Amino acid sequence: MLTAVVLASLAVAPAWVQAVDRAYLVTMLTRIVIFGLAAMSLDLVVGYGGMVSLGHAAFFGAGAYTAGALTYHSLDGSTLLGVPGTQQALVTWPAAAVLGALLGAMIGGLCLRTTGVYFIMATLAFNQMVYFLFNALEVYGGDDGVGLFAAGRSIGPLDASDDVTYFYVCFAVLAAFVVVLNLMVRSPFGRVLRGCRDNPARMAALGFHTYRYRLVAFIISASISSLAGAMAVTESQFLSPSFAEWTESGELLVMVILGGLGSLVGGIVGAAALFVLEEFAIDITDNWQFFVGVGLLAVVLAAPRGLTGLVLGRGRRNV
Amino acid sequence: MSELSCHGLRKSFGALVVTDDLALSVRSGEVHALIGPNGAGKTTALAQLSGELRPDSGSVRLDGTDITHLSLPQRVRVGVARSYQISSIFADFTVAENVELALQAVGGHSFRFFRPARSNAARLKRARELLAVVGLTDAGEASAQRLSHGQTRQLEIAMALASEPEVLLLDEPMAGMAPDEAHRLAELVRSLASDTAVLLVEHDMDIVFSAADRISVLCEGSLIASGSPDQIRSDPEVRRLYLREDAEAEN
Repeated sequence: MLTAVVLASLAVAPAWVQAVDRAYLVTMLTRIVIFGLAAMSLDLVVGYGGMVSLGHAAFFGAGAYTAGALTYHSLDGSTLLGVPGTQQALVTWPAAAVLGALLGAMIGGLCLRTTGVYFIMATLAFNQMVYFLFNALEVYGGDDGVGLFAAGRSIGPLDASDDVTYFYVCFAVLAAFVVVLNLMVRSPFGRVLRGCRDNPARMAALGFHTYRYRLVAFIISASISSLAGAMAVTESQFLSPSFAEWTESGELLVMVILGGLGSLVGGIVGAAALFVLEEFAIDITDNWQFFVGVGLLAVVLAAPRGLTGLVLGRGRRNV
Repeated sequence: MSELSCHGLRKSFGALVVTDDLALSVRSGEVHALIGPNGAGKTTALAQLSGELRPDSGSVRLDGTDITHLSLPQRVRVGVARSYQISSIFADFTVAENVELALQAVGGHSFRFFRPARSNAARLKRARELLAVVGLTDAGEASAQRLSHGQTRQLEIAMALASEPEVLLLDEPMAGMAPDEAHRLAELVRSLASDTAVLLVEHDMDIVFSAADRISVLCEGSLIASGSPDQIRSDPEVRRLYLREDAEAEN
């Protein structure tokens, strides 16, 4: 129900910001959708799987670099490992999702051999490795990054160069994954995942190979985050290592916790809260993240189920 | 007819030998109780039989097949299930969901992503049957955290039964129960033993002597006696051990 309200509000938001003469806010709305998608995929791992990943920017960045590199070579007329570049999102986005899944299998496969604080540190370590790898890619401008402004936004036959059109493309992707992920957390797989979060030792005693289920959840999450990264670079048309910066991992976690762990829709709510706060608080002070700190403290202390928990009520567990 | 046995089982943590050349067996149709003073190594022995702990040496066999190298989840699949001394259920799930989860563990893989977990009619039915077996028929839709201590132990057993085990390892299932609850559970354990081998680690001597067909006494990691309840009752070494305990308790 709350999910439907959030999606409906997002769907009418572009019309609303245009009506109040703030059309420039459409790009912010698009970023809410994209980061909301990434945060929602992180919630699958953190909220439902109990795996606190501080490395999801590695996947977000990998997706951005996959789509960005293909676009760059298309503009440049050169090839990437013998493959010609392309600006077609129907190619660059799935490519990013596949690469994200592969990277997720590698990183998750190793990190999931640890738990707790060590898992957090292991994911952070991989995040840093990926970040510095992108920094070293001189062909894409090293740490300065590279502009891709000459590229259009082709999604199949659709030209989404217009910001409102692009918003709705991203919104459609988000809505699809809201449905898919909500089915997933209620499926037999989702139940096993929650069991692994609550009591891994007992899960093993029941006969589950908990590692496999956690790893598959991690791969799914990495793949979706990577897709979101590709959507982000298509939006900004600027490729730089900042997509993969570890602070980005922290920001995604903040979104999930602020919105409400283990609720899926909380990731979108958290992303919206953060971007709206940035938009308005930045007029008061450049150090607007001070208010994020205050808000996060308030949520952690007073509303452990996050903003969505406040709406849904205290007693109800999300799933 | 199945039989779980171990031979020459040895396990030490540093200099401390917790299992010392242990040989045990439990057959279907019997309740075999494992008793001994605190720190005798009962739980450690059970952990090696269930696959949670690897022994330093020795072997565990199921119907003659060596299963020493099998992990805990793998042993569940070949028919060895266990329950825990400290209740270990899923508090955020409903009672029925706890059992359904246990059924999922053995009903093929759970990489099913899109159908609701509660849409499997056969599984729901089987969960209801198992809850009826342990006497929790009416509690199915309650949240598991609302169960009384005794009911939690009953749920533990329903979950262990989900894998249709040939061998059931119960670690102090009656711990902390009121006497009448404990005796009801003891009756349940007895009835399970008609087609399952039950190894019962238990402190309550009344229950052990009334429910067990065979009793083994563990002390400092090794077996000091094994036999029928009558034999154990009259065994001088066991009497000395437990009399000493009583005397220490009085001091």
